[in-house]
Amino acid sequence: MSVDELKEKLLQVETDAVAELERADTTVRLEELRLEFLGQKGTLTMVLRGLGMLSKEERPPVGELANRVKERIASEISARKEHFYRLELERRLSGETLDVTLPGTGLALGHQHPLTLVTERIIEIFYGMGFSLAVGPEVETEYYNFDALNTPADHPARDEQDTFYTDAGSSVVLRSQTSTVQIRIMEQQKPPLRIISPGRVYRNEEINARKYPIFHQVEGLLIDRDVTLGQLKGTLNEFIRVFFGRPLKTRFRPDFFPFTEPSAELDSQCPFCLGDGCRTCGHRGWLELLGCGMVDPNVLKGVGIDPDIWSGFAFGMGIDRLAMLKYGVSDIRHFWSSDLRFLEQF
Amino acid sequence: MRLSFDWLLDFVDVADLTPAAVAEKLTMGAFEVEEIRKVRPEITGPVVVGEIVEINPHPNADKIRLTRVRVDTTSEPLEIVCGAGNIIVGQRIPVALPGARVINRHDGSALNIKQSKIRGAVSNGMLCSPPELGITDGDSEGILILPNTPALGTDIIELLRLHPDHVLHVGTRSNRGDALSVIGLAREVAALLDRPMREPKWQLPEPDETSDAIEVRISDTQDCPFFSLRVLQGLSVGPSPLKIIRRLEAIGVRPVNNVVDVTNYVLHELGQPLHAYDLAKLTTRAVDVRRARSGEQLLTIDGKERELSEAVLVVADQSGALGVAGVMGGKDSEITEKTKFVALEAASFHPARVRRASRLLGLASDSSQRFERGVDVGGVRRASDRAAALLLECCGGYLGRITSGGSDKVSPVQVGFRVEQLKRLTEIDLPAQGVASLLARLGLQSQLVGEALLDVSIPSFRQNDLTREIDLIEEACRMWGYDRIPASMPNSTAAPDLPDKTESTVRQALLACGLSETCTSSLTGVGSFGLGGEALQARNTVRVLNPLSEDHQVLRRSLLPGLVKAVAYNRDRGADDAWLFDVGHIYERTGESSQRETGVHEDLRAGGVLAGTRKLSCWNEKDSNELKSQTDSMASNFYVAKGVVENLLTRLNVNPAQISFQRMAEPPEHFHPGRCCEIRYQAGQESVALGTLGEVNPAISDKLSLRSAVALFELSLGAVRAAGSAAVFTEIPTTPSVVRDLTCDLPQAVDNGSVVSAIAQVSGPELREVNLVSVFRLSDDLKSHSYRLTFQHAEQTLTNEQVEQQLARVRQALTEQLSAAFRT
Repeated sequence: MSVDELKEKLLQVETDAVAELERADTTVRLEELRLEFLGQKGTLTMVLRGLGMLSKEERPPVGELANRVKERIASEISARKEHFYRLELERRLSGETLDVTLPGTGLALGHQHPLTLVTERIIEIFYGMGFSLAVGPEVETEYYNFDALNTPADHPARDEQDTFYTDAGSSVVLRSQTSTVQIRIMEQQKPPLRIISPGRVYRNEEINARKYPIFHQVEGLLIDRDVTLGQLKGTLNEFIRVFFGRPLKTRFRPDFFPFTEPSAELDSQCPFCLGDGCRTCGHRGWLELLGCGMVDPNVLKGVGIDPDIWSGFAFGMGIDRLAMLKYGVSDIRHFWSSDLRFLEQF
Repeated sequence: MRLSFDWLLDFVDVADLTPAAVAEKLTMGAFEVEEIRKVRPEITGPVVVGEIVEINPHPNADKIRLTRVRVDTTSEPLEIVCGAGNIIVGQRIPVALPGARVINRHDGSALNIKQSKIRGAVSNGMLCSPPELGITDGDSEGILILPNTPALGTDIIELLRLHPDHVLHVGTRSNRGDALSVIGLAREVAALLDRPMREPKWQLPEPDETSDAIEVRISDTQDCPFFSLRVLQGLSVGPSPLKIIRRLEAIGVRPVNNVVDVTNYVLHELGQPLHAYDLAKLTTRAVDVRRARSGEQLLTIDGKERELSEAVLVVADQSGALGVAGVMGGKDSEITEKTKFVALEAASFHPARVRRASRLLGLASDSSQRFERGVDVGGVRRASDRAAALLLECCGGYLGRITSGGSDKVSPVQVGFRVEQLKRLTEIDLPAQGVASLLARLGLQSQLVGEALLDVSIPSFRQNDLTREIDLIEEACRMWGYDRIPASMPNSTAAPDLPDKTESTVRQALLACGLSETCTSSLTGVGSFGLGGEALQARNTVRVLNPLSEDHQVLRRSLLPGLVKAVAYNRDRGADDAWLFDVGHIYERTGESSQRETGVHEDLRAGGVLAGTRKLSCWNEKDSNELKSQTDSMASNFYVAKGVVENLLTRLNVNPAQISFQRMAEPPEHFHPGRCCEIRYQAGQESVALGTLGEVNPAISDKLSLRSAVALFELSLGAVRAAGSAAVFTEIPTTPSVVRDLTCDLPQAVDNGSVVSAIAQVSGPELREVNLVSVFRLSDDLKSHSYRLTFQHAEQTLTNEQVEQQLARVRQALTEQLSAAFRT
């Protein structure tokens, strides 16, 4: 075959292939055509066998053409493949539309107890104000629960707490307040000190919607030079703002606790009615939140801290009560029920 | 305590203020007013005195009668229907005329009087019973019969003193016995409003020096610093004047008779408890204030026989105790209608002594409540005078002699007050003069000594609670107003430490495993381990001596019983599947207690319970036509609990190579003995117990009717925290890994743990993983285990020969050590 004949054949193969590929309607047919034209026994290969009969000089231009034709066919095939893939994909996608409103797969997920949520939140807020976490035992001696807290034997304040006594010793009690930790920390560490300590406390009170013989308190203590009542107010106002997520008015009412002086009860504006009066606040507009005060000099002296150099404040609040307020829980007994219908709400 | 607003006005002029305004002042001044109540619903006229002139039967009813009542001298008597049986012609009674508003005696609501027809008979008003007027005099069932024939038409509100009054419920302070009285709260009100006190005075006649004098003998003036007895003679016991009755009623004290009422009146007015004895009942003319003899008996006024002990202080005559000092008098010497001679006790008792008696006898009274908080010894004689004056006024008679023991002399108390300390603690910046005038409002007189030091005189009624500078700082601060102190932030240099995360990490791991957190009681009943765990309970358990109930008698020794109970609780409410955990303390006696040591160890534990089936519902496409809701369920069992524990330990980065799960020689009773284990951590030579896990003993499941297997675990967080570590990065190998499967036949008694550790022992570091793929039971004696072993060298590509060498060593070891057989 002459060069020209060969060239013509190649162009003919190209034309045929393009036309055939155009007509192909499946990927299977495309594969057949690929073998038919480009395969080892394919048309193009056959034509190229004639290349050997050409002289050295004649070969390059024909070879060049043959490569061009081969590439053209190959690219035509992949273009068609891509086309079929797209068609197929479109068909699949349109057939695979889901009802997105069917329920999702139920993966196991536990719920955290609201008292933990609130405790962790309180720890976080006070950590942000520089308070470290401290822990103390729930079973205590009267020394830590009362004596060291300036509450000597026969002080009527002892009765107000309805303390549980135990058989572990004549003066071993279940702590009635987390203030015990104040003493333990001040015995171990030197001022300046900033700690908070959450934990369980016990009081022998009849169970009702507001009271349970076991509840949780968090104690706060700050001892430094020149600590003032104003700083106690500032610290607690800030806590209330962050905890309830909005600035609330507060008021400090003088109160009496044996281990602080001056002592105060902190009321906050009711976060639900903002002071207008509602069921939560008993239509008073104010909620009693916590007790606080300046650490009594007798308490400081008792742990060997000089009250003329150091001063401090302490506060104690009921975690259960804060959780009830935060989540609108109507009955404290829910916290202890283990009822999944309650637990799964948090 | 309850404070009558009307009574308060005797001591401080606040008539221009509403009760609510005074209450607000008290609340913001340390005496929280919990409630303000009208003493009685308001009664509005016309309610007048009438006289019954005729009583006729009702034509249509048996129980009610027709009366004719005259309310003035000029007009015709009115026809009024009445249902009460206690009336007779000629009585003077209260008549509510149309337009009046009285009280519905059934529910306390307002009752408006109109002309009406009752069973066909016209009624022109209503004859009133005491409850309809809001009072307690007379027979509450019948019409109030007015004594002393008051004039017809007299306004009942004036006559019976039914003027409106308010009662404030004021919180008590354990250090302020002085404020448990009208005068004490009046002092507070006066100070907070900066108004003067009115100090009432009364005149006593000269006593009859020939009257009986009773010798007072005090055995210990520690217990009783001062005791006085005053004789009053020729009294006539009867009802009190209405002013006293109304005020006592207002504060919820039941009027009894004029003598008792006067002692109660003065107790509430001045805060000094008093007691009146019927002098005729005393067997001797001497009384002793002494400790009771062990076993001594006394019938107290409340009608209860009390057995006394040596801790109790009594007032006694020769024949025995007359009363428990400061708490309650005895029945035998109480005032009766017949009493003519009275011995009036006014005394001071030690607060702790009264408190002890009150606790021991389980008897609290208005009197003990005050003595416990401290009563001013300087005010005893004054209260006695006040009561004597009132008794003479109310009961007639004449004054006898007063005798006493001990001393009521009060030494002056001065407290130094460094003025700059007020500023240091409260930021109130006042000159000495300013501080002095704040204190003066409370009756505290100060003198300036030196530059900035006040010498403050404490009046006797505050000597109990004002003993130190800090007490005065608080008083100055209170008078200044806490709310006037500006809030600021502390400027502390104490460096905070990040809180330990173990507890929250454990919680997060368990939540992620699908367990919900609960909170269970740390106080349990002795029988709550009737779940099968009595052994847990027996030794070293802390018991509560004064438990609230049977369910709160001991401190728990494990979290598990509470969790199993929680499962039963939810099952009873229709939820069979409960996966729960709790983080809390358990308690155990480990030693003797001392002043500062409890001898009790508390261990923080994380416990979990897996009950029922965890269902994972998902939508599966079977084919293009069918979408099926498929439920994958995972029934809880030993292995699920083990998986949870493994996840938890992984979260805390505890090295799994150091953890082992071991059968226990003596498994706790609450576990299925064949399906439980101990979790141990190998730290060097030391093996530490981290906790236990297992399926609940079927005996417990049966008892609680738990249908499916319940798996439990409990870990000691202290031990787990110590086993945990911080993650350290290891370079990711770039060499390929080689996987080989190994199947061996083993005797049934050989456990997986032994196989894995035998493999590990003979393998080099190239053995990266050993995974158990299947366990197949061949016979009663034989089983087959298949393992997938993954080998990888950190730096080189392992050759087939190297891997085969390792496998050969493994096979040999298993054959020799565990009688494994390999099928070829």
